[in-house]
Amino acid sequence: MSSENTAPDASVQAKVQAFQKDAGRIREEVGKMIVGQRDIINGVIQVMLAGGNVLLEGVPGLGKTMLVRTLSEALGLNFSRIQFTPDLMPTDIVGATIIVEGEDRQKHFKFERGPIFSNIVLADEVNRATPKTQSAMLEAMQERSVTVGKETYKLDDPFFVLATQNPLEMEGTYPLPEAQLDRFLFKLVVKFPDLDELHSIMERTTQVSQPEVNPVIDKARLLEMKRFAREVPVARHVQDYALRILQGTHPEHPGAPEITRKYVRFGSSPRGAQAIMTTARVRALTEGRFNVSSEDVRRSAQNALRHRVILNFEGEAEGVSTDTIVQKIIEATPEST
Amino acid sequence: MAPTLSPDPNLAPALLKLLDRLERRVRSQRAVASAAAGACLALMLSAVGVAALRTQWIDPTLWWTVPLAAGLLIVAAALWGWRRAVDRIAIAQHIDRHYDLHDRISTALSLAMSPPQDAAGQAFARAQAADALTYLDRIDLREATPWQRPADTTLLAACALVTIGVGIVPLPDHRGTLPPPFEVRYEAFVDDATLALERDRIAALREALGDDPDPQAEAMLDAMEELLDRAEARTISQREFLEEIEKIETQLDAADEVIAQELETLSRTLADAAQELASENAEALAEEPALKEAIDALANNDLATASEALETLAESIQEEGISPERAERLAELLETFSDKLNAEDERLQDLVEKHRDALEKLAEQFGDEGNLTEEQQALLDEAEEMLSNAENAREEFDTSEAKNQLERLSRDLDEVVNEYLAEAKGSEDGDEGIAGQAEENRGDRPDYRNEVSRKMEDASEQLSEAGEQQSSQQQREEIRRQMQEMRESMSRGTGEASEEEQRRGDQVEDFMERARGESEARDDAQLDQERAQQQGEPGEAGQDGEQKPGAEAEQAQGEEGEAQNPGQPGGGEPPPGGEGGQANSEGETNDGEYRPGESDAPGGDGPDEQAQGSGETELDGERVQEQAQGQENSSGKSRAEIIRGASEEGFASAEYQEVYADYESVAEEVMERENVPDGYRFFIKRYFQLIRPQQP
Repeated sequence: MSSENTAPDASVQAKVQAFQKDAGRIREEVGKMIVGQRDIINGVIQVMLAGGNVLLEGVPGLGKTMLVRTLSEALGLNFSRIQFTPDLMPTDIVGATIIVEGEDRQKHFKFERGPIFSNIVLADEVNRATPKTQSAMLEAMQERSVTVGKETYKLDDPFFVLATQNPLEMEGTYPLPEAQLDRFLFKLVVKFPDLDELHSIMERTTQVSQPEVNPVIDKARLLEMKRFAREVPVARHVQDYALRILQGTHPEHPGAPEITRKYVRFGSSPRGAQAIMTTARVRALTEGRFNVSSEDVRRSAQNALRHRVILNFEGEAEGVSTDTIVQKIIEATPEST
Repeated sequence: MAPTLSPDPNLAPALLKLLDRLERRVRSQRAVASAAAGACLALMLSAVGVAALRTQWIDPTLWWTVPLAAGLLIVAAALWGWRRAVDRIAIAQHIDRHYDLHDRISTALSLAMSPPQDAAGQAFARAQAADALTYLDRIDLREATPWQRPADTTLLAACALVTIGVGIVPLPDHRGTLPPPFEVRYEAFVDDATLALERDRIAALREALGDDPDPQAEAMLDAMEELLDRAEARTISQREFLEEIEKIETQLDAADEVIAQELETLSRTLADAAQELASENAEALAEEPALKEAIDALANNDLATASEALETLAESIQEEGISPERAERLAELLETFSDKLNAEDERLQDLVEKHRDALEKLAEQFGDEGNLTEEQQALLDEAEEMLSNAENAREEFDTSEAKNQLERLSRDLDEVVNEYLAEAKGSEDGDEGIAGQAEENRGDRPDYRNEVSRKMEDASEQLSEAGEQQSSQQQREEIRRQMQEMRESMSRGTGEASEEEQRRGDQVEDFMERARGESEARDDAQLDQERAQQQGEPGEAGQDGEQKPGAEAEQAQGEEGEAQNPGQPGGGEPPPGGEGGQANSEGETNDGEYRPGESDAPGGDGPDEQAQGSGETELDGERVQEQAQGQENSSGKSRAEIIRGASEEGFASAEYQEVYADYESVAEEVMERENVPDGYRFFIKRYFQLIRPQQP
């Protein structure tokens, strides 16, 4: 074996360090505006660098919109916000073809792009729109393109959707079907801040001077980071660990823990394992490591699987949360066989 | 695994060396744990081995096999633990977890074992391996994988204690004497009353057999009595009892068949001889009516009548004398008859000779060529078969008892003929023949006719012996009937005898003893007391005469009394009971109550020999002993015999009146004491009214 093959690639080490540094800068910049919520911020950054979309669940007023806006500003990306309401139409999201008068006084059709044509889209209270409207946006999330009439319009890259939904006020809402939930890489639960965090929120938002958010990376760097994150190799036993956790969500699997067999109707699809591994790679890089660890898998598994596990009647009746089930599955799955 | 991805050739071997050390450590740990488990097993086997050595199941000279086997077992277990596969990724993960290395070591090892295919991935893998190697310095295997005590240590200590205990505690010796075999006690299926009744029936049958019983019949009775003993001792089950009875019956049937065949042979031979004699010597027989009667009876297979006729002839010769002519005639007739009774069955012999001749002729005619036609061959086969059957029949006849009897009868007749011929010759010579010889010997007129008549009586006895076989068949029929009754009563087995049934059995036994005149009447309290004494002090009843004042004690008194008056036949005429005086000696009591069999005379005549011997010769000690035995074996009429006689002769005898009174009083006592239903009381009273003695 030649020394060229055995010599460490200095650029890899540098890239990893740069990745860790840039990710840290994004986190710090967002942290100027968002008090606390470190897990949410890290989760959102991981999903964004992994090229996925995230579903945020939390009561109103917890800074979800602020998080998205701050993130777009820190990344130097354009941002649009769509407030989902029952009367929201698909054209309100993707855009519509309208008749416009040209310079030659001739009228002709013109496609007017909707808010979906942004790098970062905040779909606020996505469960309040009708399924038809939801599907229009979710199609854009999956295909990264929008078809209107005979024309297909490709969305700009990076394209990142943050959807929010309110766990309260379920009256008159249209919960997302499981197939569409599966398209979100992570589902993050935004918790209510503690007292110290509330103090900080009061101080930052009720004073005259507001913190200023500056772009820390540009779009090109973001795309480079996304591509680099996919190059991280994963050891076989670590990947095996992720897959065994995934199998643990299936009640029919012989190795599934008791809680799964008792309360779970359907387990996660392979997209869940994909979500775990892609986000685990990003997490390893953000921590400056060259390898994905079992700890990365465990951390990603909770966010990647909680919306992919479908409870059965007993689980719903007894109010068992999917977080509890996923946590039990992770605890029941050994790292090595 | 080749260190292909190590950035520094010296670093990859360092990682491998670390993992090798870790693997050896893990293998050592496993070997020790397996050896501990193997030691537990070895100690348990050693305990067994020590026990086997101490109890000498194993030759003590082979003691070394036990530690050798234990040692080999431990070594084998340790080797198995060492040889078990070790997952190096797993042990690397263990190091990662212990030092919180985020799977750096395990990932480096994994990526080295299966490197990525793309260049970017390989670059990442090299960077990752270099990163992992930077953490090797902080790894201390003794800290990461500390020495752990085997989990089976406690069990090992327990096994060691067990082994030591087996070596110390005394163990039972398997070579010791075995415990006594388990005694099978079957459930009682017959009560004491039934047993007593059956024993009484057997005793009655024994008496009916007389002094010279049929050996087979006596053997059957012995077997039946033994079965009753076993039933009483509960060493036989009801099913086995019935099977044994059936077996005895089968034997009896087989014996009957043999006897019947022999009787038929004997009767047929005698009848043929008699018929031939009657046809050939009709005139001579006409002059001897007594002999003719005997010959006719023989021709009709009536052996008893023939015997009586010959006996009559002998008596007439003894009383009236015999002329030489008559003697010669009788001699000729008897000689002819004797010749015809040749034990060699001439018919069979002729048959054999005839067929043998036929076979010889056939053989001469066809020689050894064997060119026989099918018919001739069939004829030859048939002849051979007939010859074989004839020879078999001849052999059977030669070995039969009938032939022996015929030979004895023929010999007796020859002796009678010789006597007659001697008589006839003596008369012609002017001599007295046998009488003359007797006169010369004793000096007075000899009773030579006695000799002739005695010879004739011997011949008569031979015939009567054959007739007795016919009567013994009747005895066996009685025994068979008895066995059937016994089987029926045993089939109705009552199971475990209760206290009340035992009491009833005692009453029945007492009643039967009283019926036989062997004891006095006893009340229930006395019976209960005796039973309690027998149960409380087993074995004393047979030794203490006072506790059992029944038959044995009184029999002893009877024998003593006879020994004091030996050889005194008594004076007057014997009473109608005949042997009542002897029966009295058995049933004698001191209280002057009723004594069954007792007669007014102080003693009756015994057998004729005793009467003659005691009256005319001086007795010595041996004679006295013989007389005592004769009296002991004889008996007077028992109550059972009186009742049986009453049923045949009528209810008018004085003895029956006494027996009736005794039985009726017993029945009344029982009805007063027991809770007998009114309906049954009526039948009992009615029964006694029907058998009430009539005025003589």
